[in-house]
Amino acid sequence: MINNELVRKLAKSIKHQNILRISKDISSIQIFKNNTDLSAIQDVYLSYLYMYSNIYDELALDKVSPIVLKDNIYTDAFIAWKNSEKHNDSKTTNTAHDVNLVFSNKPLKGVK
Amino acid sequence: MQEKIMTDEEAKDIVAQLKEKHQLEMLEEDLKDNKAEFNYKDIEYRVRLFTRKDKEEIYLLNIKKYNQLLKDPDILKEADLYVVYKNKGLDIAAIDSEIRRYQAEIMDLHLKLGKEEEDKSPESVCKAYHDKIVTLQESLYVAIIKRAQLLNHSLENILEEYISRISLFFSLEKLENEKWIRAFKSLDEYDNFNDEELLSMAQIYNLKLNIK
Repeated sequence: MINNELVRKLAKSIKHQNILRISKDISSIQIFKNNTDLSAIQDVYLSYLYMYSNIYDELALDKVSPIVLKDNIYTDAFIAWKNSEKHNDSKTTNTAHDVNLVFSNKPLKGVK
Repeated sequence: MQEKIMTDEEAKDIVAQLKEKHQLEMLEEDLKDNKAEFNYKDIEYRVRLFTRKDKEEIYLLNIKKYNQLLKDPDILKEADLYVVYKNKGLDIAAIDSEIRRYQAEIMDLHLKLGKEEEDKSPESVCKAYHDKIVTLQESLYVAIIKRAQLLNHSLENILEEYISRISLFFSLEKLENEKWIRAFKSLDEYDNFNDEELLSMAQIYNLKLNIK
């Protein structure tokens, strides 16, 4: 069984965030021994690693209160809020796109 | 000079910290690779990821077991258990609604709290939302556990446990003449194997590697 609490703690740590940063900068350095075929636990860890990396980025840009890292509830709440914002943004974009489609679907004058 | 004697609380705290440190180190080991090797009674074992062929075989065994369980009149599907319990005055559908309501309320509070965090609202405002979420999560877990207990012996649960158990047959290997081979020659041999210590140890790795 995967202990999410522990995986999150590891992914949130500065040590593991540095591993991610280094692996991004130096292509010869990889996070796991295996390059492909991630195990279930590696998959979960990687998701949390990127999630916390995004939060640290937001913190560095002063876009969120430091309370976000106080515990999992604060973190999950912020992630849920950001995801809903993204979802709303894409909805707006899609609506605009739909309008274009509505107009573009109109038959041109003289064309049946 | 008089030495300060550690209180029970302080000692417990140190033990908890050491335990967590050890758990984190073990987790780091588990993360390094997509297979896990260990020694048991002087034999080298490893648990590896399922191959595509393994997954196909597990899928077929799943169907076979499902059909077999379906023929057993003493084993009830979840849907049937809903009816049985309803007749006894226990409404699982009502628990489902309760779970959905808690989840919706938690999500709503998450969104509000997330916005407050982005707006850098005072900690007291955030904490009020946080504490409401904690209370709701506790109620949610109680409802989930209650539901799980009532449906514990459903066909679906029996099937899930069966698949989890037999999946280890496919992922557990031992080293023989410098070659990794299946630890058991057949499912029958695996089923009749008695050393629970080895199986438990291997199953922990199997769940970490293969079960999402």
